[in-house]
Amino acid sequence: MAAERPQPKIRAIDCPNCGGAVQLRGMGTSLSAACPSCLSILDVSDKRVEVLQRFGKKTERFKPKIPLGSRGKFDGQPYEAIGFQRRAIVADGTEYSWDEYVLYNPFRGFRYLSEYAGHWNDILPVTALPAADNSMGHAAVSYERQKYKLFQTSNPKTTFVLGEFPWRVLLNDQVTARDFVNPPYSLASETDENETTWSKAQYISGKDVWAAFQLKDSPPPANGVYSNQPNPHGSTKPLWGLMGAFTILLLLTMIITSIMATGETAFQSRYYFIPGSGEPSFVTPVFDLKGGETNVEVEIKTDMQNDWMYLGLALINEQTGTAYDFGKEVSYYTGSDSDGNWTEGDRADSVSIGGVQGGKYYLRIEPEMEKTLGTGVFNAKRVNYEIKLRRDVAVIWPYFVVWPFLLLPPLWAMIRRYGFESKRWAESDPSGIAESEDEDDD
Amino acid sequence: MSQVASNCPQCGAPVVFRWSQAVQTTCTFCSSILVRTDVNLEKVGVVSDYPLDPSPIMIGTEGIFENKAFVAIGRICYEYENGGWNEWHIVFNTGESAWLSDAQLQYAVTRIIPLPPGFAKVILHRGTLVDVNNTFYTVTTITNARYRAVEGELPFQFWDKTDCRFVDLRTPDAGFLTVDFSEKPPLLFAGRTVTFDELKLKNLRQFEGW
Repeated sequence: MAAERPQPKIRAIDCPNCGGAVQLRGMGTSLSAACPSCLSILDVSDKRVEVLQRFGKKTERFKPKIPLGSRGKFDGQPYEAIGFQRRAIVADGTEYSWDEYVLYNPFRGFRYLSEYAGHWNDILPVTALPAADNSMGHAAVSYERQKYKLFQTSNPKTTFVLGEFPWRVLLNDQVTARDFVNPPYSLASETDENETTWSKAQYISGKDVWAAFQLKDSPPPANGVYSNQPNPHGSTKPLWGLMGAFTILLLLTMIITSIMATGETAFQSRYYFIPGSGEPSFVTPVFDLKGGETNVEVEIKTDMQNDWMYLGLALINEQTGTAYDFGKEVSYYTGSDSDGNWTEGDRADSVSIGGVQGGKYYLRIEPEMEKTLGTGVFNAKRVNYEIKLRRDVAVIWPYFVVWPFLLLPPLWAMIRRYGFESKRWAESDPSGIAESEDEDDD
Repeated sequence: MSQVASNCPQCGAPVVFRWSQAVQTTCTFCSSILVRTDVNLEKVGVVSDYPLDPSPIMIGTEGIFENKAFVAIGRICYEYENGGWNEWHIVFNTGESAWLSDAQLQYAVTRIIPLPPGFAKVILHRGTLVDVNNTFYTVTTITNARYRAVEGELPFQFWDKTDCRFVDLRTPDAGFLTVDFSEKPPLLFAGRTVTFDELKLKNLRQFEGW
C-alpha cells in the first residue's frame, strides 16, 4: 500500500480512559491533550492514543477566560487557543497561580498568553540563545541589543490542564524558570532535565486580549504592579528637556531685559544730617522720570561708623500727588574681638519700588538717627549721605527665585516613576530565596 | 534546473527528477525508495507510513532565503521522544542545495559545512561552547532521534538508518548549527533560525479550516 501524507485536519479521538470525545486542533503538533470529560492527560503524538495521567473525581476545574477553540488576531495573523494550563509557584509560604494559554497557527507555530491578576503577556518562543550579561553588578541577559535584568528565579508547577500542548505536559511537573525584565518586554528561560527553552513576552492589557479574541464583557482589572508592566509615568527625559528649555528661555529673558534696562539716573544729590538740629524732613527739587511705567531704585551711601540711620522716603508725583511711601534703614558697625576684626551691615544700601509711572516727581526725605549723648555743636554727630535715584533698573533676583520651581515637575515625575519601580522590584526574587526558604521549612 | 525522467522499477510510473544531482527519490505512486545507479533506478526499500506531521511545507513549496529563490524537493522525517521534525531538502535557483528544518513550526535553514579540524575530538555536552569558523556556538539540545520516513529527492542515499544522534548549537544572534552523528565522521550543518514570514513561502499545504 502506498504511503500517503495525511491531510491535516481537526482530529477527533475517543478518550481511552472514559470514552469521551476529544477534539485535537493542533493538526499533529500536539504531543499531549487533556480529555475535557475526565481530565485524563493523553499522549496524542501518535495515531495510537495512550493515557499518561488520570485523576480522581474530585479534581478542581478552572475555566479558561479565553474559550479553547476561539481564534484571535496577533500581528495581523489568526491564532487559535488550543491549550490552557494553570501554574503555580510558592513564595514565602503563599501559593501564587497564573494561567497560560497555548495559541496555534498552522504556519507560524505557537504563541502563548499568560495572565496573572489581570496582567497579560503575549509570548513568543525565542530560537536564538540570549547571552549572559552580568555587567553593572546585576544578573542580566542581553538579546537583540536589549538588556534584561533578572527579576525572579522560581520553580513553577503545573496544577491544571485543559486542551492540547506541543510538549508532554503532566500535572505537578516542575521546571526551573528565570524571568528577566526590560518593560514592556521580558525574557524567560525554562529548564527541565533535557533542555532550556527561551521565550520573549510583551506586556499587553486585558483590553488588547479581549479585542484580539472579540470576547464579550470586559477583562478583569489588573491588580498591583507586574514584573514587566511598563511604568505608567513614562520617561522623565521629556520633562527634563522641557525644564532645560524653560531655563534657557528664562536666562535669555534675564539677559535681554538686563540689556534693555536703561538704568538712567534721574536724580542725584548729597546731604548731611545732624540729629536733633531742627526739622529733619525736607523735599528735593523736582526731577523728570521719562517714559512709561518702570521700576525705581534709590541708592543710599553714607559715611557712618558704628551707627544706624533710617531714611523715610516718599516719591511724590508733582502733578497728581500720587505718593509712594517707603523707607530704608542703613547701619554699619565695626570692632574687634578675640577672633579679630569684624564688621556688620553696610554703609551703602538700596531700595526698589516697582510700577512707577513716568512724570514729574520729587522726593520727600526724612532721616532719623539716635541723638548724640553730648550737647553742643562740637559734640553733635553729622552724617554725610548721598541719594541717587535711578529708573528702569535691571532686576535679576526674581529669575533666581523662579528657577527652582522649574525643577518641580521633573522631580515630581521622577519620584512617581521611582515609586512605581520600587513597587515592581519589591516583588523581585532574583535568587529564588523566597521559594527555597519555604522548601527548607517542609 | 534539468529534469530527468525515468520509470519506477516497481510500478512503472514515471519518475521525474527536479534536481540533476539527486541521488535518491521516492515514487509518488507506490512509495518505493529509489536510488540512482548510473542511468537506472534501483528500488532499495519502501516508505511504509508518514507520521502525523504538521509541517505546512510540501514537495513543491517555494520560498526565498537570502534573496535566492528555492523549492522544496525532498525531506527526511525524524522522530524522538518529544515529537518529530522534518528536514526539507531545498534547492536554490543557483543549483546549490540546503536544508530547511521544521521542528514544531520553528524553522531553520542550514547548509553542510566541512568539519573543522579537531572538531571530532570535542565532547559536546549541554552548555559546551564551541568555536566553529570563528563563531561561538553553545550546545543547547542533544536529541536521540529515529529515522521515520523519506520523501522525494535527496542529495545522498538515506533509507536504512535507525538511530541518529543530533546535537544542536545556537548563538545569541540566531546562528544555528546541527551536528549529525549518524555518519562517521559527523556531518555539520550551519545556518540560522528563520521566521515563517521571512521565507515568503508559496504553494503551501492546506489546513482544513484555515
